[in-house]
Amino acid sequence: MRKGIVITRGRLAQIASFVGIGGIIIGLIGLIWRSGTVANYAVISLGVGIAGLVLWAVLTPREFADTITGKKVRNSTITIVTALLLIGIIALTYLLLTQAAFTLDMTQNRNFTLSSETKQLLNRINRPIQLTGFYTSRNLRSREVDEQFFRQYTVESDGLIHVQYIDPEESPAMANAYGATFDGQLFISYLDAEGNVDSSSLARVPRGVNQERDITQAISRLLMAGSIKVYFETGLGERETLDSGTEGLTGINSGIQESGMITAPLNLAEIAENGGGIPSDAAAVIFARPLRDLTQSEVDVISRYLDRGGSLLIMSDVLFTDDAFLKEDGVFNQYLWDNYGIRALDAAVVDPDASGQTPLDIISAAVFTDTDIGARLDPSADTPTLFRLARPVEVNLTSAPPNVANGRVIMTTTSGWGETDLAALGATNTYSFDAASDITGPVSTVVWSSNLTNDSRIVLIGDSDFVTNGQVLNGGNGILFTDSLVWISHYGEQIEFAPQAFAAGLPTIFVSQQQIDFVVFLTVLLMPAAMLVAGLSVWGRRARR
Amino acid sequence: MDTLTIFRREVGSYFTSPFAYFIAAGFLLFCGILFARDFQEAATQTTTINPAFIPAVISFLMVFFAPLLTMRLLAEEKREGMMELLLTSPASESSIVMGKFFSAWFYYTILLALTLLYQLVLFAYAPPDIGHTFLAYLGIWLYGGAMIAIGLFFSSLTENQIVAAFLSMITLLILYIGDAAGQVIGNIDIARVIRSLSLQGHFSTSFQVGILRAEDVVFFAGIIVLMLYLSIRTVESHRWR
Repeated sequence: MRKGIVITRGRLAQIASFVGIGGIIIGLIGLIWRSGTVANYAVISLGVGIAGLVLWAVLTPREFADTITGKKVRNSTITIVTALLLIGIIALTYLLLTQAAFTLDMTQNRNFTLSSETKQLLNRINRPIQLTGFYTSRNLRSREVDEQFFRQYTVESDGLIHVQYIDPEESPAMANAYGATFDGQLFISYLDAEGNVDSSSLARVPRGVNQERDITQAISRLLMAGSIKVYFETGLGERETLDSGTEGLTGINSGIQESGMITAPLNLAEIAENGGGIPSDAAAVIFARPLRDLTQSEVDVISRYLDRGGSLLIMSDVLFTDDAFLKEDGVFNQYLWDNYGIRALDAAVVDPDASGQTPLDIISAAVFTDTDIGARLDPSADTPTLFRLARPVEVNLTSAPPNVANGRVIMTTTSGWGETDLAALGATNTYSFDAASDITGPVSTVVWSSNLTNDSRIVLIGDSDFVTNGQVLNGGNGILFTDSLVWISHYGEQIEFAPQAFAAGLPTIFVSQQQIDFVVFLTVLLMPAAMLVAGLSVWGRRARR
Repeated sequence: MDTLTIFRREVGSYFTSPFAYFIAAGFLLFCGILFARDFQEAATQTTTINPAFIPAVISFLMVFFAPLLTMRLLAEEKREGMMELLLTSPASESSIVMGKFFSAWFYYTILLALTLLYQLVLFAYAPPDIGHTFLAYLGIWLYGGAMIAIGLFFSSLTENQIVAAFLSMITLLILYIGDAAGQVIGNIDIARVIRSLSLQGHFSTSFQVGILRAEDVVFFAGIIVLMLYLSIRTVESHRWR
């Protein structure tokens, strides 16, 4: 005879008790797990738990009463319940304080406190911004340290700065969409009306040693996005900003756009022909190796632009044609010399002592690091620039035009010279120094000039290969271009600020070997030995008793 | 007999026992070697020196020292049959536990105070960041208090000192390495929860870097209160049996 499953009242009560206790434990864990936010499953678990306990009490009231009233069990239960209550109170206080973010930065330099410059900048935010950080679980500690800053940005911006964390290993598609390439990478963007990331404003936040500077500068760039427009001259056969080949300029074009600037093409010949002018929103115009020289009418357009405070970044190569850009006796070169005290020379730079594969591959030998452009190009910092077949440029330091400040940025060694026999160089690739006709070194390859009256600025570089996709990542090539553009467009003045230095508070020790020996003796020998002797003395005293 | 009486008796026993001095000698030797090495490196390579270095070293050392300090506190009383005597005395269970806890914490505070000599050495040669130093020491003091409370709880559970030391050492080690949970656990949410339950997680990214966070203070204070409560109830359980 088949025996069915018999469910007794007691068995059901036993199951209810297990379900009750289990439900309450899962519910409590769920509440703690979600850091204070009430998850549905936690509430359901708690409900099921309470229902289970009630069922247990209803089905077997005597057993239930014995369980909770037995002396040993009662005491244990009281202990468990009180301990849980205590844990609950501590956890609740902990969570409330975590959300309130009561922190006190006690470091000497206020390393974890936002500078007044950052706070001023945050006051200018009028749209929600999101910082999106990609952190894996392995980078949890870095994320916690970063969070100290992010929390302050959120508080100081009155909640306009949001922070979102994404684990790139759990959400690889998101990581791909953002272009995240390393653990701890941070992105910044505006949020649209629906609270979604505005991808058109998405930009990477560089990660250096100074968190505050990196984040604040990224916010600054975002705020000024679109306010600075840079034009590339495209009508004179220049290098293409949309050419992604090794000779193209897509790299620097993207870099400029990622910095929050807008780039646009400009056709000088058309403007001159129509009698127009360079657009009033042009913060700078870039000449990336035009193939022909400018006409008088084109120079007039540039002259009008510079008179109203415009800026030029001119990159000129050695060209072997008769109508080469910036010919020494051309109208544009003459204009620059007369009005700004700078010009290009019809020669090619040779430097046997600071060169790459051939003496025509010029490595920056002398950099004027006291200029805004040369500050980051210190040759000792392993950021030399590399020019291929560069052209010498000249600056009139002795009799500069009135109200004009100018100077050099990069020069060759004293062994370098300007080879003027371009015909021989072009035909047979031969060159040798001729004191009678060649330009004696050192020769300049990068110079700058500024009219102090109208604040117009020009950087003249005797090379253009260095900004091509194939060369821009070599040494300091990218830095030279970036810092030149930052200076002429006044971009740096809008994002510069003095952030706190993270490591400034840590002291550096200068001591003699004798002093080191004393410290070692004191800390490694004397202190432990004194304690050991004291212990032996106590031991001896006790043993004598 | 109240907490203060027990505290005095326990502190007295620390300073009349060679064992406490030997522990202190070992503690100072370990800290001294690491400090001297760090100082030597900073001096010869003219690198910076971190004022929170010694507190960071102590945070690891305490995983092994705290059980040594606490293993005998209640376990020894039980093994020698002194617990029954204590329970029949006018001292309440809470006085016994609190007195023993505060005496161990006091002894630890003296050990910490001795390491301030390293900071004085730094002051002589290159003044460290006082705020940062103070906070690192405050943090390691609270951290040590929490570890001692955990050790005391395990001492209340057994009459075997070795078992008490072993259990608390394992627990403290787990609570120490929980800070690096993310290194072995792929799920970031789980790793965060584990890290937020670890003692080191509430020290390494706040007190140790010079930041005081209210929640970290509550965490350490909470651990101390909870462990003391459980210890008191465990001692009380002798009356139930």
